[in-house]
Amino acid sequence: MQENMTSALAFILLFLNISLLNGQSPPGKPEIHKCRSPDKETFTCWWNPGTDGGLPTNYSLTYSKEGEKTTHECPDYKTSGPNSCFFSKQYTSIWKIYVITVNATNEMGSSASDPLYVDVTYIVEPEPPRNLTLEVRQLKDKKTYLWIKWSPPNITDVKTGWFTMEYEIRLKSEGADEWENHFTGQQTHFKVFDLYPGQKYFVQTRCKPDHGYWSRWGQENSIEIPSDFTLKDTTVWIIVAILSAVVCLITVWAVALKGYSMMTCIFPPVPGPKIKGFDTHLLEKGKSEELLSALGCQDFPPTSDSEDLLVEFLEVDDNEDEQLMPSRSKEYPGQGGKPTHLDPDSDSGHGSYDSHSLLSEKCEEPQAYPPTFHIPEIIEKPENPEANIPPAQDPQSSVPYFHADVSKSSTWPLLPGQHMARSPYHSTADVCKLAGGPVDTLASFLDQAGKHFLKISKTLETEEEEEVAEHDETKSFRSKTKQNASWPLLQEKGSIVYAKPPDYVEIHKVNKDGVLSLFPKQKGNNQMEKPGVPETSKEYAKVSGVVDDNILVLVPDSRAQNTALCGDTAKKAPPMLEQNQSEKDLASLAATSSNCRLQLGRLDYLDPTCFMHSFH
Amino acid sequence: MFQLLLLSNFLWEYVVPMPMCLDLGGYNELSMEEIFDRAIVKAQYASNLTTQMSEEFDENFAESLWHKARNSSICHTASLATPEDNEQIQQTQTDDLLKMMISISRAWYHPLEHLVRSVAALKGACETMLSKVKEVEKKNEELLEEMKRILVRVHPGAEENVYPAWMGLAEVRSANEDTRHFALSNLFHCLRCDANKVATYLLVLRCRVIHDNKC
Repeated sequence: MQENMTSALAFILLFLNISLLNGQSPPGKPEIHKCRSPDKETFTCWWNPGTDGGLPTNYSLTYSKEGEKTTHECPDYKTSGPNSCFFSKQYTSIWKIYVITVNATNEMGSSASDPLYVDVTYIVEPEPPRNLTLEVRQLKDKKTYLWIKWSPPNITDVKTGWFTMEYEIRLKSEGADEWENHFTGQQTHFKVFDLYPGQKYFVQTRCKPDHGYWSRWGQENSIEIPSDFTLKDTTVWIIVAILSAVVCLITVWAVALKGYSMMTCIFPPVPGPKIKGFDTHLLEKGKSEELLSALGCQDFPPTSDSEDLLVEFLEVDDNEDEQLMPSRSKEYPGQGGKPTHLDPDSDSGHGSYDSHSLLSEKCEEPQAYPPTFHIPEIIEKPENPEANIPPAQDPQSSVPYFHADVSKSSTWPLLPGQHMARSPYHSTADVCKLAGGPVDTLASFLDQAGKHFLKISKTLETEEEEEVAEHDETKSFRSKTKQNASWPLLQEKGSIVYAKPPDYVEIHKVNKDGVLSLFPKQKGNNQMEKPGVPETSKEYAKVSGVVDDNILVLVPDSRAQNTALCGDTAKKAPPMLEQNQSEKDLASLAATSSNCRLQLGRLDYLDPTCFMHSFH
Repeated sequence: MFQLLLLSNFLWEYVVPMPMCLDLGGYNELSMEEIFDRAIVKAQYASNLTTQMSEEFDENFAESLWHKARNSSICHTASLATPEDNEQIQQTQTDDLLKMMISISRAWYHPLEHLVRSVAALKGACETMLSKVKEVEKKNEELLEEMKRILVRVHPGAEENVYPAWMGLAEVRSANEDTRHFALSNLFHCLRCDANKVATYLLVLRCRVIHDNKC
């Protein structure tokens, strides 16, 4: 018993050892690793064989459907390759679960794989899409895009709705490493924007049923995006912009260099108000002399108005009996031509006039006026000898004789311009000439006066001279501006201005003794007759000397005026007198009359002619 | 595009209540395409949910039970002789197909009720499974209404077919856990198949009716 058992056991062990030594064993357990259906109408299962155990092994696949008790074997082992089982259409049913098992069998034994439950609906893995086409298209706004189109796989029936396929594309540029995926849903076309022009792109597609697996990526297609024309346009625009910038820079540079000249060219400077010949700078500096000379009185308003003004204001009496009449505002209605005679009592002509007051009042632009143009000693009314003449007469104030106030016309020695046809003041130019420097003032005052009164210092002086000449008492005031041609002009014009000599002559100038004396004016027949006698030289009353107690003997000029002024006394010679002669003259003068005594003004000159005559 | 439309339709239905859908009469104003789209959205949604539930249940509760008596389990709707492949579907009339779909939907009305109760009583089941089951139950009812409307449009006056009854209540309520789980597993499988079937039928009908087989 024990021997049998022992032998049997030994035999079995021997057999096993032999088997092991030979390497034979039952096959290993196979494994079904996947089943796929391309179209939901057929499917294939693949398995992995296990170890074969060193012996030829047969594999078989068996399956059974859900609800069926029978087991079937794989109908086709060939179609799908080795270790596969292909289920054709007649063997394929959806919505049914297949239980698939693979058996491996060899001489040693067999083994079976684990069953796989397969629902064909969920194992669909389609073929990749077909007919992949790439096209570059343009939108209306010239925007380019890539138009991708494909077709579903051939064997799937999408048209009847049996298959609901979803797609996916991927693309990349030539040099890129990674793909760019885009899910397209169930549509079989796609647009890709914002691709780089000039680049080459590769595109692939794949598809998936609603319940299934993704297909493999289809055939790769490539396309090159052409260069956009808009890019060229952009370049053109950039060039245009650069050129414009360069042009602007050049323009700015040119403007900067010649900015002023260009500005003046574009915006010409607006000329400010300027009087021809009038230099404001001179005015500011106070050089009235130069200013007035600069003015030149060339174009002193030669308007008829001013002439009328003068005509109206100034009255020239050609007759000997004519007297200097101051223009009175009241008496001056502007008729022109009517000689207004002053009250004979008041004055010998122009009556009393306060040059000072007048001057002070109307002194508006006296600064420029040369101080030389002093107002001659104003002959005042006898009742007011000194009031009119403050010693500190402002020379400048002497200039503006314009008296706008009509009420004070009485003091104005202006004469109606009736007889002023030849008055030098008929024309403002003449006045200018007479006045010399202060033409502007005269002109301005002419305007200001409103054609009322025109008081001209020269006139006054002329009057003074006339008076003095006529009455031998008053002497014409002389202007410091001896050089001024105004006086000669006055004389040239004939000094038609006539003015009544004042009753008193006030001596402004203080002699060396510092005494001024007044000499009453003698009315007389020493009316100045200036029928247009041209006077080439000014009428100056020169002090011939001091007589007695501070009595200044004035000698009129050697002009006709002086002659007249001096009356009987002949005109003197040039004012150069010797002391002795002067004394003699003085004596003669004194003897004759006081005609030759000229009222001393600021500047007292004695006309030696008078003395000469007297001496003679 | 189509999926998006379906999804939007679905979202519209479940998120934004539209007064148009309140009364049945308002459906008469909808076009066939709109009704189909609404039905397809519901069907596909239900199909996805049932697939998930079946796989989850088998994975957690009945994996080892597959080998057992798998061959003997059949679905209660198998008697409806529905077409099993595309050729058969193309050979089936639209109204017949619609009637079958309606029968399937009606056949699942009561089983779904019990499924909800069973899943609720299922120990160790995820909370999502219960919500899914409830969702499927709801969608099934809505889908039924949609298909009835389609049938009326396609074949006015058509009468519905008889639908099979479900007899597996005893197994679902079995005291034996394995029996119970096995029964539930089978039920989930059948449910998944039928949901997918209905969705497929709708897609085919849509292409046939609206696009004339040129989808």
